Amino acid sequence: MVNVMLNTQFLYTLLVNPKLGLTLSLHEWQNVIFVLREAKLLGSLYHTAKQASCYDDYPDYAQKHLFSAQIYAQRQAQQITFESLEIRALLEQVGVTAVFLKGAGYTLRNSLNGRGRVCSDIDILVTKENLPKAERHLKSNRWQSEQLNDYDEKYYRQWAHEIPPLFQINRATVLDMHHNVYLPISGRSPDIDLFLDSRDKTESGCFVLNPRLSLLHSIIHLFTNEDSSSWMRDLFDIYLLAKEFNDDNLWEDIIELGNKTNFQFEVYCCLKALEYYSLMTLDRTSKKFIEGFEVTKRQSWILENAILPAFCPEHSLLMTNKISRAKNLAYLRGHWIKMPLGVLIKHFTFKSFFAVRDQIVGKHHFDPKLPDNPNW
Amino acid sequence: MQIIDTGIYRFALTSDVKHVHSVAKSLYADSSERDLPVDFKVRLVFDSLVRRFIKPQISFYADQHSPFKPLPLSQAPAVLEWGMNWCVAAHEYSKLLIHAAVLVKNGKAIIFPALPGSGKSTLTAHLGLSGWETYSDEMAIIDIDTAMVNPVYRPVCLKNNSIDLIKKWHPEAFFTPTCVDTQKGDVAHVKVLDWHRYQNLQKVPIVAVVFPKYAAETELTIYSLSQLYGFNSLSKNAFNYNVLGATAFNTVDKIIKSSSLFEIQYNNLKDVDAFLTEDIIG
Repeated sequence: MVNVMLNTQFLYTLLVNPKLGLTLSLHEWQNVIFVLREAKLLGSLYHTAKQASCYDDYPDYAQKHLFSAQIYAQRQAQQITFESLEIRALLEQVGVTAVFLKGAGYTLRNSLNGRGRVCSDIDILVTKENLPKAERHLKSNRWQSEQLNDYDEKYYRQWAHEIPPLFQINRATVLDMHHNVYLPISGRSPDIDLFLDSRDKTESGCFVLNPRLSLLHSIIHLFTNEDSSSWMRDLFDIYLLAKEFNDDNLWEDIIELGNKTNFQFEVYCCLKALEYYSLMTLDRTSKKFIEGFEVTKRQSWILENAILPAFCPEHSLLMTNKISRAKNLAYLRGHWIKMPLGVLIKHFTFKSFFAVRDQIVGKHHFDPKLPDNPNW
Repeated sequence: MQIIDTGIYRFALTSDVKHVHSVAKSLYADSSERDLPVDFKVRLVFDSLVRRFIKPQISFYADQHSPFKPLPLSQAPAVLEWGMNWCVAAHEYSKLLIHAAVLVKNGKAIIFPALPGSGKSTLTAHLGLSGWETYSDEMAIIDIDTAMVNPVYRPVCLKNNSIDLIKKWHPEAFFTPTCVDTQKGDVAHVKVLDWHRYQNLQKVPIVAVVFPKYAAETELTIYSLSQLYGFNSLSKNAFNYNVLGATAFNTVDKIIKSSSLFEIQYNNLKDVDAFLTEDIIG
């Protein structure tokens, strides 16, 4: 019998207070496992439960799924470390320093939010000036990019803050090389030297953003992203970063960095979201910032109706009409803030053509990427 | 929704194709009574409007995602079995998974890693219906610490000529209807265990690794293999070796050191049975 109200709030509470898992029935566990698997948070629950010393008291059913997820994440962390060293060494040959961002950064720093985390690619930041030679050198050393259609190629080269993804031809690792943390076409790209200058050298010798800039980058990335499918995991990342590197000035500094880079609204949304999902009690500085922040009616509506509900993992057990609508709104908003209206209309025209086509003939008709059925 | 209980993993199936439900019921109805959570939700659905009516195709979904391309509707029951294999291979990292059949006699397991076309499934079905216990046709599920192999409640997947052969040798066995023209040719599943018998099976140690190769012109020929060759071949057949890393290495090492290792070429399963029973199980 299912008693627990399975929703985003409950899942966050479980991740933060894993002892709650001891009260779940097996059938409740089943749904929790399905949803956390979709949210890429199974490995994270393994680690928070281990830390809270309650993992061993979980039912075997839960343990086997959490354990497997954790093994997979551990293997990935090993691969990230290996690839990062390779990438660093390659780029050093042409005098380029790379800063590892997001998932790879967390793993290299070995911060709490790197444990049990899985990611689909490695993100690095280099200066715009260094980008062409970094790309050239990687491409002559077993990194390639896929043939893109003209539209996507133009999207990356002219408008985006990154080049088309590179993949390692032997190991299929994917590398996203950025020259900024947000799209230049938006007119809101921050001064990237602020990020590049705030780097820490990790034990491996690879550079990562320092905890404050890392936190700011995670906030910018989450709250400007039109794709909300990983938002739940991304906010949990932020929660763990803030918890691990908390000191008296943390939020004061983040708020100041938000002002400096002109991402105040994103910082505002982040604090609101952490409070909304009971992940954090706001300190005095944060409270003062929230109260003093002049939020427009439209922003406030967007926050309530699009952003906050859109943290829900995209699993059929949780999706309601309200959440789907919120996610669609978050998608539109993510695009809206990204580019000027004229460019945006063109962008949607292209994208909706492909979507309609796929709906009619099946999305795999033109897509060579998925493997054929494995021939057992 | 229908529960498919393979003993060690449980699936919840929904399908747009009714036929798939009845095939699954014929194979798993006796195992589906337990009130336990499921490990994977699987669905067979029509993804595209056009492909529902013109050259109809069916897509397999593991919960929210489809891991491989849609396949012709006629193959739907086979797609379900392959999809279930995919779910396990893509999520199970607490055990070593080897692409191999497992047959057991007197509490001793022999595993048969093999490439398609080696006659492995014909061998498994025949022996499984002739006094051996079939622990698996496709996937040896091995505990990483003890290297003991677990039984799984699945049918054996037969292809092409072997369907008629096994039907001829074991007319009393239960076969699913043949799916024509899959990627592997014609495919049918045969039941080699009932749930009652399965429930009495325990995990057992592995005593031999045998690489089978059917060769129409060759009488039973047995080659003894070096541990190095055995290790190499066995680890290459493991689905999750790359993820388990050192753990997998140690488990394969344990298996190799405690097993006799053979490659056999054969054209007669009676000879194979005699060799395995007399010389290996002893």
